Amino acid sequence: MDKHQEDLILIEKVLRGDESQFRTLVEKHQDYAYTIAYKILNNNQDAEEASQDAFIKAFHALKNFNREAKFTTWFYRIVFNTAVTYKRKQRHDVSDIDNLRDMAGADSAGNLQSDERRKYINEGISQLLPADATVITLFYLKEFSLEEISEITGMKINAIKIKLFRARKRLADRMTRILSTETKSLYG
Amino acid sequence: MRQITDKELLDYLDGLLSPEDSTEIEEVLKKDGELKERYLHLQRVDKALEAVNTEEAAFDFSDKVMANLHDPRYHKVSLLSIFNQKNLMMVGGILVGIMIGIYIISTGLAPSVLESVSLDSITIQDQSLNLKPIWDSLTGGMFIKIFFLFDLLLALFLLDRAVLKPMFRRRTQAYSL
Repeated sequence: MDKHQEDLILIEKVLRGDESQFRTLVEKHQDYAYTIAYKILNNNQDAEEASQDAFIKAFHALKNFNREAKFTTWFYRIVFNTAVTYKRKQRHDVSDIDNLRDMAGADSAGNLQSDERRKYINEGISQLLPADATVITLFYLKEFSLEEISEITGMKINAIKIKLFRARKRLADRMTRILSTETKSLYG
Repeated sequence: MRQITDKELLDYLDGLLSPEDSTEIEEVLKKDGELKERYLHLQRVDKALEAVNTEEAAFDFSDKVMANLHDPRYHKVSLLSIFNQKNLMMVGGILVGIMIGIYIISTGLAPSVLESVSLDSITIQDQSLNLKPIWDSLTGGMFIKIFFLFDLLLALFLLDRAVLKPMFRRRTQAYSL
């Protein structure tokens, strides 16, 4: 049984009233949902709230879900839209104390050494526009075709290809620039 | 030697090129050290992106989702959210327009509003319909009727733009993705 069919069975059970099955669905997709939100928001707390909101919205909209479609494509579109809404709110926040605290915490904890790769790549992605960050995130999850990425983000496939190319090139150029002295250790 | 672009290198990396094009790129990479360096850099970034891509959600993530599953915020769109400052001003404008209309009618300022339209202005000759110009029969009452019709249409338009459309848009975004 493939993942898509597993999702459909769980959805059927939830719709028949067995809400506990929704937990299985959450646990199955929570990491990807959180990852998409995090790449857009670049803040742990916001990413967690946005992805949790997306799950709850999906739960209430489950009866509208077209069974012919793939649950993940439908659901990650909700995650994408929810995270973009959070991003708009984030821009309006004058102080971003949580972000500062996160960064300070990482520095003082001395975890940067082992997390350098993650840090620099995430910083690079966070510099991208939300749609570009999502496109590159979904592409590297290796779970979605370009058609599915197009459905999730609501963009045309050609636009996805262009965004993907630009984002990869920008990240490569940025990392060359920033990590000129650290490149060897970063890539092992 | 042909100039190879970053796009071609990335396509080669993704395995999107035809066997002929791939062979051509490989030949150029063997001869051009600078291009090979660029290719290796793109490849390393690609691997780095793959390696760090998945974030791990908090251990109590699903507990929090399940605990908030029936949070009333997600059940319905709050009516209060519809009435923001801009929308309140529009709705207020509609109400003022309606109240002025009621006042005009109730105080007899427009006694001719209920008058019927005079059929004298319509004459039929030789099976063809001949209407006199409308301004010939435009009375004060007719003017007020047109004014109220316009007011009603404007009120419906504002109601749609200020209340109904935002409400359905929110609902669509929230539940029907």
